[in-house]
Amino acid sequence: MRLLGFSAIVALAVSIVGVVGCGKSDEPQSSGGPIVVRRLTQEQYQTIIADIFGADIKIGGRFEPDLRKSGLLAVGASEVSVTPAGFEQYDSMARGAAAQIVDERHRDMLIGCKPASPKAPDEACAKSFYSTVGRLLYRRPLTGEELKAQLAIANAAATKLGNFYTGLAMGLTGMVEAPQFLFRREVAEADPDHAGQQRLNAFSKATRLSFFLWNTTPDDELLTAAESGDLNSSRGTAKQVDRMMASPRLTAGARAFFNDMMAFDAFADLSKDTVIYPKFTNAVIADAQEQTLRTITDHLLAAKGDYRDLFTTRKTFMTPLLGTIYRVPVETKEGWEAHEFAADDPRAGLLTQISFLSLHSTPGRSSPTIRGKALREVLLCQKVPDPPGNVNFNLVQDTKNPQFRTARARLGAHATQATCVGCHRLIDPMGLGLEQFDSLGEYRAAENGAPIDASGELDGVKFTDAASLGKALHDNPATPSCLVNRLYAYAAGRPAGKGEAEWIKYLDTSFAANGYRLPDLMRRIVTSDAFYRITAPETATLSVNTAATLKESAQ
Amino acid sequence: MIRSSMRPQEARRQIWEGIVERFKSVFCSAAAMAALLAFGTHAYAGETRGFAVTWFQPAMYTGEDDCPDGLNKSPDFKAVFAAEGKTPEQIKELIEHPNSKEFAEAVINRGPHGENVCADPASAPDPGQKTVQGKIAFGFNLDGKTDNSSTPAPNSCAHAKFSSPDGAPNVDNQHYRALGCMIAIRGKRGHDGFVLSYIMERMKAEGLRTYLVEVKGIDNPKDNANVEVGIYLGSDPLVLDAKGEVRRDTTQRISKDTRWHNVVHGTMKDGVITTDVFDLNLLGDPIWVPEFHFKKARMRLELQPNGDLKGTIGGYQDVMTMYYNTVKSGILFETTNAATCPGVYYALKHAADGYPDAETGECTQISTAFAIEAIPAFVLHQLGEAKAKTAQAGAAGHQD
Amino acid sequence: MSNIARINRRTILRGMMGGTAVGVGIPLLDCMLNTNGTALASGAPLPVRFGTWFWGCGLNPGRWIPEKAGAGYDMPAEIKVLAPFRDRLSVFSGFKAMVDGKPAVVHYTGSMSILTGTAPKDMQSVEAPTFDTFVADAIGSATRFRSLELAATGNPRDSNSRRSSSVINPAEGSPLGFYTRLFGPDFKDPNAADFTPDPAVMVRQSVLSAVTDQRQDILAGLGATDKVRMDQYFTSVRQLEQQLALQLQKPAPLEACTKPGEPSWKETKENTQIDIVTANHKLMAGLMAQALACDQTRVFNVAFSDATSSLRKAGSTVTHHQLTHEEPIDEKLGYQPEATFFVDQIMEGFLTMLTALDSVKEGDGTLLDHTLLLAHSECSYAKVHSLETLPMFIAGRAGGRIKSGLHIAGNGDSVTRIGLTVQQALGLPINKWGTGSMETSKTVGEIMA
Repeated sequence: MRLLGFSAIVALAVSIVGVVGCGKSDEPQSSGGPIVVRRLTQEQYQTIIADIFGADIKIGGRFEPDLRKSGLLAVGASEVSVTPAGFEQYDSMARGAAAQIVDERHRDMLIGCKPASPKAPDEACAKSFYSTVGRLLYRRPLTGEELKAQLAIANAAATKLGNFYTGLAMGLTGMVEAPQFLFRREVAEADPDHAGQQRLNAFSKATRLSFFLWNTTPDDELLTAAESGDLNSSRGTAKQVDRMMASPRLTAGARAFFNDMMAFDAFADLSKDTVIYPKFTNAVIADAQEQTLRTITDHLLAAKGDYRDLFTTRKTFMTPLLGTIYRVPVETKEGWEAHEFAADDPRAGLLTQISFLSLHSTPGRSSPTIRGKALREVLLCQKVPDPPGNVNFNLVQDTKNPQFRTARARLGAHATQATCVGCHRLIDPMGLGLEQFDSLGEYRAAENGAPIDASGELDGVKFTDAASLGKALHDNPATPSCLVNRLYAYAAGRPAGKGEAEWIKYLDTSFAANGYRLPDLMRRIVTSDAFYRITAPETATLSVNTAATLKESAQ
Repeated sequence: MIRSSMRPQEARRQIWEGIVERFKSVFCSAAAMAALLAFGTHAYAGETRGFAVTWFQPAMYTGEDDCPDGLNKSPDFKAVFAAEGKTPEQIKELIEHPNSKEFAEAVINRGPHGENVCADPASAPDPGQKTVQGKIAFGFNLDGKTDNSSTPAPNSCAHAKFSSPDGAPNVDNQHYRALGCMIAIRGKRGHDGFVLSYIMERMKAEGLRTYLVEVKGIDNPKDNANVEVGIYLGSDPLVLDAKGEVRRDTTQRISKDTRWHNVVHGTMKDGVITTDVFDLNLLGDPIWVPEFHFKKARMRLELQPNGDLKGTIGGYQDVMTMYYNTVKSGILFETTNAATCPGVYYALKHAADGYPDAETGECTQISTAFAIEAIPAFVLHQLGEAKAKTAQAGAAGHQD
Repeated sequence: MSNIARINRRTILRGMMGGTAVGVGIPLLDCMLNTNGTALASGAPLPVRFGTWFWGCGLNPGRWIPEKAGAGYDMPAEIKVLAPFRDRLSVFSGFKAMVDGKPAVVHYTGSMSILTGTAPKDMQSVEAPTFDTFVADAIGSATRFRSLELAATGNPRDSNSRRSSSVINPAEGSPLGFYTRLFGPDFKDPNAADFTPDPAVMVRQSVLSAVTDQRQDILAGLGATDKVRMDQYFTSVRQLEQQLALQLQKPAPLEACTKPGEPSWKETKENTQIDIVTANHKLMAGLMAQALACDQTRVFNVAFSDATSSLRKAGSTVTHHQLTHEEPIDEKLGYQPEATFFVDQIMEGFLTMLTALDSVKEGDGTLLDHTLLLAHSECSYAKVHSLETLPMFIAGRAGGRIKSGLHIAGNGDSVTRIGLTVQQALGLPINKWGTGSMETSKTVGEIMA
């Protein structure tokens, strides 16, 4: 998408009347939270450059590692900074991108004006370029000072190096590595409708909206709405939300959220012992993630399905590569085809997809403990305490011990130690429900010749196998409330604060009332006042199913 | 075809003949087999298993007594050059540049009148290639001869028989006899001669050629009176796994080119499938053998506990085609295969044992046996079939 | 207050940019230094060098891959000779070339996959430049030679460094020729050379200054924690500014640079006899170490043998390549003893190269410590031309940019992960490399410092 076409293309928006309606009257009071300063993620950085300058501008370099906090990288983004090594990379990426943008192939299309002489500064042309691009990069118009400083660099550099375009690129480099671009810093203002309270200003509001729904910088139309003040009204906001939620870019936004919530970044470091799992390759990793994201977005956005059904659905998508692990024929030779598992198939829901099964296993064997812990932490937002430091894992890790042929038997022997039994009782039973799938996620009926018993219990609900574990998860009240919690924290860049407890409860209730439909929940959040309410900085967080609760039940 | 105007007796006779024909066809040829299927009778109820072939090369028994005089060697280059009248200086220069064009030409064009001895091997005298002296080889009794007389079987040329490794007598494998003392192709399975493993490595790495096997009619895991075995050219390249082996449980389509479809009736006894006689036609590997044509072919296939399939295919191949395929790289053959072109030519010629030429009486074909190995795959004949197939591709996952 | 005291750093830089022949940084003002005044005191970092070292016909399976992964790996028979360098040598096993339906061109696809990230479609093709040329463009443009290529076989065609099918950087095959090229009449003592600061670097410095100028505005109104975060950001910017400032200084003298004497061995003819190749290579390695120490180049490519290794014993017609195919495997030993003789000679040659680099003292360590040397072959098991587990080693630490002394098992991943890692470690702006199945954005994280 090019500079000039950016807003035009995304504005295909067919305005849809919100299912949820305005409904602000029944919104409970919320304290709001502090402003946050978020570093762009790698994906956001790349998407923004592609949105503004076109996808053929190559960005080469290493990004700083992200930080996971409160279950989300989006929250960690509010805590990270830039190291010297990281800045070197930003500098190199910025110079690389800027050089391409002004090169002969791109300049006419992307700069929008021509200098009087290519060998000398041209302030008018530079000014027009920096104001247009700067507004999209900084997510607000440049201040007079900023523009002046940009022009000073461009002019001086063009003079020194005898080239207008090189000078222009130098100034652009500075913008793309500036804190105004790399960090989404929010700005609060007095809320004229609620005396004594603060809210995000219109540009910060536009930024939150855009990153939450589309995972990229606000487009021209949204910025215009911010500039005109439209975005300060409920009506103006609703209009933009309708447009943005009708856009295909909503899928990119939803994918970014689930990618974060499911901790798929951990795939970058995932490895398997290929002697045991020769079917495991990097291509499998990519397909497995994509399969889950496709299943999710197809179910939640295209089919407007119930979030909880993700854990029971037998519908998914296959590639030829995945077919070799699921052991189903796949006709398409490239790309994806829809697939539905038979009603008696052991596979149902996200828990039985390769992404979940393989990500939460050790390289050489499946681990009911790791899977159970992931289920609690990722899908139920519960914190499981780390194991004590002095545990002896030999028994669990020795998969060749003829005395303990299955994981259940090994864990049974291991968890007799008093220090271990409490935690294991919390996490193993649900992990054991997935034991019919090995570390790669391939089906097996037996381990070391002993049949696998996949029965267990999740919070008092008994299940017999992976499919009924999925059903138990579907029915667990913590499942949808965890999603609400994560989605809100993702959008706000911080976990909900104490003063927002009522508001979160309200979101829980309305999520249920609307049939657990994700788009309705997203709309509810972005059309509320609460989402944009700002308080003085505070860090206390609301605890949902906290570690303390778990510890109690473990004792 | 029964015409409606026929009288009843005539019609009954034709029906009976039809049944006899069908009976014969089941046990005779693949083409007739296909006709039978077209007729509408399907004798193969039961499970169908699909496989992708991972190894298809000459079966080399490689016994210790095979080559008592050692293995064959490359030409003695220095002797060749000296015989060609090269000076010591010229010889030194050639030796220092073993990759040069001059070196190659001096080696290959060594016929009595400067002939290229790979292109025209008959121009050179027989250097006496060492051939297999052992008693054991893989294969089948192709000519049907079971006595020890010196008279060859009809349509054959006199030759000695082998026993199979499991003791079956009267095995014909003159291909092995002629070339089995060449290091480039000799070697027990898993320690294969470099030419064979090189071809298979490239087939795998490049996805050059896919062969598919389908076994229909597995009612019982061990014994089935009637099974149907199909060997097909596949249309999708093989895909590898992380170990560099062919990936298991892939979906594979059969080529639409029916020239490379081979379907034959067989029986399965104690897990071992034995087929009727048929003609096997397969597009070859693009490196050495452009096409495979096995006449009077037959197969013995064994289902493995892990779901794999292993076995032997025997039949006759054209002897001159085999010669030219073997030495087609010319100088590279003579400098890396430890053999000579004329040696291979005369050894094959002398060993040929099938299809005598009507005029000269010299056999034009040679008995051979290939080892075949295959792993589970979903084999599709046509689009839309995948949905109907269940997860039937062999063994269930990792058991440990 | 005198005028000079009011000059701040940016005033100077802006002055420089406006003028044409302003002397840079002399006299050195306090404000040019970092707050401690130590940045220049510690001197500019020593340059990082990159090299490749190639041999043909691979190694024997089961005789070189360590069993233990990570540090302190075991050294099987064929790499045992490299033991003195184990802590500065990483072994890569289990990385392979993938051809995606293209032919696996014998003795060619493997090396081209490692070096270009793309399987060639035939013996003549170079589908993408070999990545040493990218490295040379990035780190070699300031030196006298952008890169130097050597072939111990004496054959100028034995060079893997290619910009395209038709642009092949020819290898120098004679030690004497190499000596003359380096240290002949055109040689200028680098320590005596003049210095001209790069105006582009000055401009870059001004861009960064403009960023840091905004610090107060950016910090204003932030909470304490966010202030700390943003301050860290500005510290990082300033660090890069200081690095640029160093580039505007005349570099420290190259203490390790001495002009060597003319070599006594003068083999100038192409020759594949192993003792001649070994002698050639030893001289060349020593000269190359001096070329690097004198900063004549920062990128080098050495071929010990050709891809279809024509190495042979004196008087014999049988080449290493021929032996890999024709020689029977000794049943007791489990490998081909005659072919393996050449493997051992080749690894001795690799040891010679490492020793040559390590014998030049530089800064706190040696030239090897400031080098990243990628050694590789074109197949793993030459008998069958296997492209699985192509043998690759990385020696040196690239001036601390990589960790060394590790055995990395690739588990069937693409060889391009190594190329990507090397390019990133050397600072190339690249996060994805290779094509088709070999396209990767996954570096070998274990060795990234």
